[in-house]
Amino acid sequence: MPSPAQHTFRALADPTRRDILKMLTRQDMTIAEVSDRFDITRAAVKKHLTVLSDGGLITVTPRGRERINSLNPVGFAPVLNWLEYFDSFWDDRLADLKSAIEKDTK
Amino acid sequence: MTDNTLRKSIYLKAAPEKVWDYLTEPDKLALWFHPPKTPLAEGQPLEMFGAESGDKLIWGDVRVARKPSYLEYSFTVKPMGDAVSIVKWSLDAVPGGTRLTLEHEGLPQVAEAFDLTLALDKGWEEHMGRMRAHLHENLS
Repeated sequence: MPSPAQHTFRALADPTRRDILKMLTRQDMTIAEVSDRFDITRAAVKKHLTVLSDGGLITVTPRGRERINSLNPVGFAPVLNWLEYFDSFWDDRLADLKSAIEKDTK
Repeated sequence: MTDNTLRKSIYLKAAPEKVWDYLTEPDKLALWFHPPKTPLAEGQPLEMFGAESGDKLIWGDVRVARKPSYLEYSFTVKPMGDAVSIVKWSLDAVPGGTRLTLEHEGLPQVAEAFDLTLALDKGWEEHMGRMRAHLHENLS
């Protein structure tokens, strides 16, 4: 089961998605507005927006027949810096190391 | 964030030689970390693979391997992009076992690793400020 941070990392891992995020720092946009700025299909843009939304990096609000995509700054918290990420990463790994070694010693 | 280094120490009920094997041997690394294809050795590239996916997840170079007291390698993980950090392991014999110390240096800020600081305007700075404030609220 991937952690929420993994969804966020996955969302950030793609350059097109990062470009979309950069655009959304300036203004909220509909899917059509986003796809107008990229040389990719509307369906592909929609897919990227879904991944960004799954990663918690944007929120999607229906407005009439349109869906407005906005940046969700709070969603960046899980990956705000690598120090926090590795802090819990190493805690988990070291706990596993300790239990593996102690099992081996018995 | 002025100090991009993590430090952690644990005590293990095993001699440094045994702990060393857990840090360098593929079958032992598989038990708690990610397995490399060959034992870690000085001057050799470091490559570790996902147990399930088989994808290369972590890579770098083993800079120092002084059995059984000190191991150092550069360390890049997939989502970190080109950012290279350094992992240092120190093993000290203590009564009843080993004190193992980990130092992980040179961790970049996420925004740097993802190239998000380039071409970002003031709006982004403000967003980052809000993120930090929110995170710190949650932690306190």
